Amino acid sequence: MKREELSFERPTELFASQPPEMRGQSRDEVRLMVTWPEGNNSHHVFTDLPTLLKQGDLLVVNESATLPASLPATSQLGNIRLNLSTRFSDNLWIAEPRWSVSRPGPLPLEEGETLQIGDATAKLLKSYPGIPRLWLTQFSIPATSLMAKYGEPIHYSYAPVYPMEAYQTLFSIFPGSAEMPSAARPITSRVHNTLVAQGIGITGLTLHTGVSSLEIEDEIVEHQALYPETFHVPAATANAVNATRARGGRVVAVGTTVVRALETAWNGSMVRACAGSTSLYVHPGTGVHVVDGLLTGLHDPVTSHLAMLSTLMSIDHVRKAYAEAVEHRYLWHEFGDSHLIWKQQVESN
Amino acid sequence: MGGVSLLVNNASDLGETPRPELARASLDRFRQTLETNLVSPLALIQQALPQLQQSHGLVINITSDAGEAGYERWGIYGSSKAGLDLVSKTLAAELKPLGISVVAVDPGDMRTQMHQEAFPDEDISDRPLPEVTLPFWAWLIHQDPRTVSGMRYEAQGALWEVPA
Repeated sequence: MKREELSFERPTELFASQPPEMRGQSRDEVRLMVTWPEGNNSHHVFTDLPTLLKQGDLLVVNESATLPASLPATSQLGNIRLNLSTRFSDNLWIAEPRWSVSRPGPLPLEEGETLQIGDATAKLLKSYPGIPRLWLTQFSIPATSLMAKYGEPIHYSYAPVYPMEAYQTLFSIFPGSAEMPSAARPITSRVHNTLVAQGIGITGLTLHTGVSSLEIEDEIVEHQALYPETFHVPAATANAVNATRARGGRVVAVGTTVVRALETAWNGSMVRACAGSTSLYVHPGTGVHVVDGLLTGLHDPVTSHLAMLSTLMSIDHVRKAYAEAVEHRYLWHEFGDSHLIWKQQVESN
Repeated sequence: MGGVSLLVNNASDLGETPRPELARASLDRFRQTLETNLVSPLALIQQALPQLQQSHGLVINITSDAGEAGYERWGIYGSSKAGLDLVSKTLAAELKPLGISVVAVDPGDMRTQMHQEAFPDEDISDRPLPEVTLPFWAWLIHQDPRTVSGMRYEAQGALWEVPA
């Protein structure tokens, strides 16, 4: 797939700068676009979600909670930000030095350079192979204590920083995500209760998200290097997914992170209990095997997320859906609107 | 000198070049390859055992997909690595009571001298430099060794698994 196929225009005023609850709405009052297997779209309110699912369907949510992963740091270049991405140990992380919240890197930093964070240090050991804006970074004290003292949620230029609570979902249990796994954000207690009352299953797994991917740089989408994320698909979740598939129910991933974890745990015929670190890149060449649907937000142009979406539907239908989203003034990013995509039935399945 | 807490058995012998078919391979050269790739790692592990026990250390044996695949003309090197894989797995079980952990790691194709020798007529500049495996090593040495003992990893693979 060529990178230009994932390119589209959308005006910056469609970036959600505020959570809905600060725009005078409830979290579940965001909008919901549905893309049907035939490629047509319909438009709803998020609270309609239970009516769009059937008894016996299974929602799989990400139970990772968001960390205050953005740290102020001082380097030879002056004051910068250091956004933590992926934990290898308490003291070793993949991290992203940025000029500021709004201005990404890569920064002209030297291998071995030491950043100062309060009275602790962060040594840049090595830039990440194929992703020069990220560094393997060694902290002099556990990064969790730095986050507790100095951290704030990672945010970007289109939105100011909000209290930590704004970056958690109903399912945030296990701290570890650099950025909110935001697809489940609109699932409120009342939506949850309606789903459960209708016999729609909800089960969880964990995938700790790293920092947002930027635009794919390679001309060939599939060549983009991705970094690993820590995940855990528990046995009970694997069983629930397999049982749902076996009896003809539909498995709906709540978020691209859930697709990544489930596809990693796919062994060719079923999902197995599985944990570790995954760099799996789900794109049209790999396809998706486990999920029948994906509930997600609206993603940026030329990103690996869009490559994943185009495994569920043709790239033409992705483009058509996104054009409709722009036309209907849907809001982008973690505080924005939702998109439910049903997998298009191709030859097999 | 402090004790040994990490032993990496990296040195390997590709064997005869150009790589022969097994039917016509030199048996002496085969023995020599097995000595380097299979017997020597065990000898080093035996030597380091007391120190590894004291440190609850980790042994990493470098392996290859040639040890699993049965590629034509890779039988000499491949069988030495297949043997090393079984040594790794067996040792992981046997040394568990001593608190010593053992993993096998296949680094994948890389732009190295040995890889060039294995493909003397090929331009290998499309293979990544060995630094592509750095994140894996950083990840591995920060795992609890006892959790990962007995595992076989592909350093360039999409999944670095731990028991669920």
